[in-house]
Amino acid sequence: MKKHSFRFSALSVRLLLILLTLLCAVPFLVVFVNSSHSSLDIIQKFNILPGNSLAGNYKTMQSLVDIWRGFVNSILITVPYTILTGYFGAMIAYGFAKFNFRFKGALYAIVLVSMMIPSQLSIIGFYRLCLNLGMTNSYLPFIIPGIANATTVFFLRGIIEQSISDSMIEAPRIEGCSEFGIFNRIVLPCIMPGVATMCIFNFVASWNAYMGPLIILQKKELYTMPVMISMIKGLYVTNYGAMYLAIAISVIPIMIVFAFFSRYIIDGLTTGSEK
Amino acid sequence: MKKTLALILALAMACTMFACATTPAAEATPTDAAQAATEAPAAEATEAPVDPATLSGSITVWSSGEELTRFVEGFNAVYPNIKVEVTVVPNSEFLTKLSTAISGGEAPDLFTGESDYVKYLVETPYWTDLSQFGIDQYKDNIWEYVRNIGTDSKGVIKALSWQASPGGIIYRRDIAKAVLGTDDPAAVAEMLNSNAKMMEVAAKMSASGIKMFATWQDIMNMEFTNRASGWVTDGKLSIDANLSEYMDMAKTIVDNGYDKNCDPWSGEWYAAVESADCFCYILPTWGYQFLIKPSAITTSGQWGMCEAPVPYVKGGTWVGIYDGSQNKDLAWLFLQYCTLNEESVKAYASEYSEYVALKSVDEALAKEAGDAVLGGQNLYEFYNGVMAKIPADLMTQYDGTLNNAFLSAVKSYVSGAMTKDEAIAQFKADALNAYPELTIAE
Repeated sequence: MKKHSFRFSALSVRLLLILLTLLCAVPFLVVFVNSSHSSLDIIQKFNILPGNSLAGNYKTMQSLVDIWRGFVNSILITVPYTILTGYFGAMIAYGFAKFNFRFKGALYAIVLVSMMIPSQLSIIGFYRLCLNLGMTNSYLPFIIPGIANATTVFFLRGIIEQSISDSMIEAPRIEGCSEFGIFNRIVLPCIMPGVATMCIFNFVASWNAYMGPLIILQKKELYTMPVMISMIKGLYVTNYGAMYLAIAISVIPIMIVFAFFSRYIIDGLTTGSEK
Repeated sequence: MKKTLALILALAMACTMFACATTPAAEATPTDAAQAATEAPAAEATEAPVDPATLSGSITVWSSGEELTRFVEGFNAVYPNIKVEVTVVPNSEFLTKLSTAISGGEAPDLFTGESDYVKYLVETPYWTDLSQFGIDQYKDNIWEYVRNIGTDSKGVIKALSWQASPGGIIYRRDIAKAVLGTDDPAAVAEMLNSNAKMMEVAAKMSASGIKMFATWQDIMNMEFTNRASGWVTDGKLSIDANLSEYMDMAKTIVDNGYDKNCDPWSGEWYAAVESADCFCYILPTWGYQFLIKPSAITTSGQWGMCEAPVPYVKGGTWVGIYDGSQNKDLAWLFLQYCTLNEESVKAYASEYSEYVALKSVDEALAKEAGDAVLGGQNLYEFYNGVMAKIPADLMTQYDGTLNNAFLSAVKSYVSGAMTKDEAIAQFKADALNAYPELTIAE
């Protein structure tokens, strides 16, 4: 009797999980399926099976924008940005967590405050700055800020304080390891799960960034994926099929990144070396 | 350890070099543009019929819609050495991007202004005075309201449009025949020539299980023309009595289920074209071009156009030349090709069934064969009739924001979330929020 009820509950948990998985997967499925239907089909009915307008949608899409160029542009911005946020974010967080220096409290407060200002507010100032630096048609304005990502610093500081004990730093220091070496060889590997988690978030945020690239970049061939997708959507004509196709293409890298790095989020629960 | 440090330093140096390297490249562009500009007037100064192939240079165009890209191929057939680069900037971000670009001195040679904010752009110094290119000789051939909207308060023409957007009622002939007993546009128009009569017909349709409208929101296109004055006169905001009447009408429509209650440009809105139970759309020219014509497949030939209770215009996109442009003469050639050249505008109009701003072209096309989707009715002939009755334009620079605020207030009233007085108060509060300089007229 007991055994039976156990099985029943395991089954119901599974069913619930399968249902939740479906709920999460259906929107993606719709995007992929709709990318092979004509705009009219998409508007008029709910599609489950793939249609036969994929080639037509691809043609429409390419006639409006060069999506692969946008794809490469997005990668050129996102990958360096993500690496910079991970590495430098961890370094700054380490400094705040394990070193004592003057004005530490005030400096950390500045980091926190900068998290609270919405980026839309500073977009005009950011544009003027880029213009004066001669960087309006370049990717640098989107890559360089990666070395000072407040959210990453905030998040990793907590992780370092929790998972790296002072003795772990003192030991190599006594052995004669340089401070830089301690960070690279001991601290960074220990908090890698946290860094990977932040990298996923930063990757997605950078990949989906729209307003910045739209304002700063003036040349069509430099546009990133989100800007190109919004260009497909016209003022009156709505090329739904082509838009879905472009969105499907832009979702793929995010899925890949998630597939490779998501296990680090789970590992992140057991971060640290002293168990 | 030193290796890593050296690597980081090297990377940092490389980054700095890259950053510096982009600066001279960016500076080079204006000089090129300036050179091109000096060549162009020199070529034109000869006055004799210039071989278009000798004109060369490149111009940039920012457009909120895709229509201008359709002219480029034809333009390049005439002027093979003028490179036109059209960038479609999403309409919702158009002004943000444009104003930052202008403040940074990187604005395009030509840019568009959609009806929601064209009046604002016309009053700014961004667009150049078109009289320097001899716009006066074309003046009489442009529909008055199109010209007036592109003219600022001092009477200077700054922007032109390739399109004009008068509107009527686009209805289903088969349903009209079944329920009203006739599908003749004149007879149907007669049955729908006031708001009260439209409601009567809506009740009749409803009794036969047919929805009169796709959405009550479409009717607003017409009601904005059906006013004594625009939103703002002399800094005073007023809500016309007709708009107040329209609010009640919208409420009646929704309460009695006379429409499908969908949002314009939504899936259901498009789908209603092919449905068996939706009688009409109250939409201007673009409604036919972008909604009915591409969507009507099984209902092709079943559509007709008749006059709305009030002749109206709504929407449209204007285009002008940036005052700080280095390539004004080349930009003018493109502007002229898209908006004033009878030949190219006619070719464009017949290919895309778009009603255009040049009277002579609309009149010529009115004599040609009608449209198959409309059962042979000639849309140019129909719209020419509407244009003859269009009253003065009521567009103000506040329209984009205020129209949306009004729509959301009516939505709240119609859905029952607010009473009518609350909705009007909400609209006034939103209006003052967006434009604190306005006062409310009593």
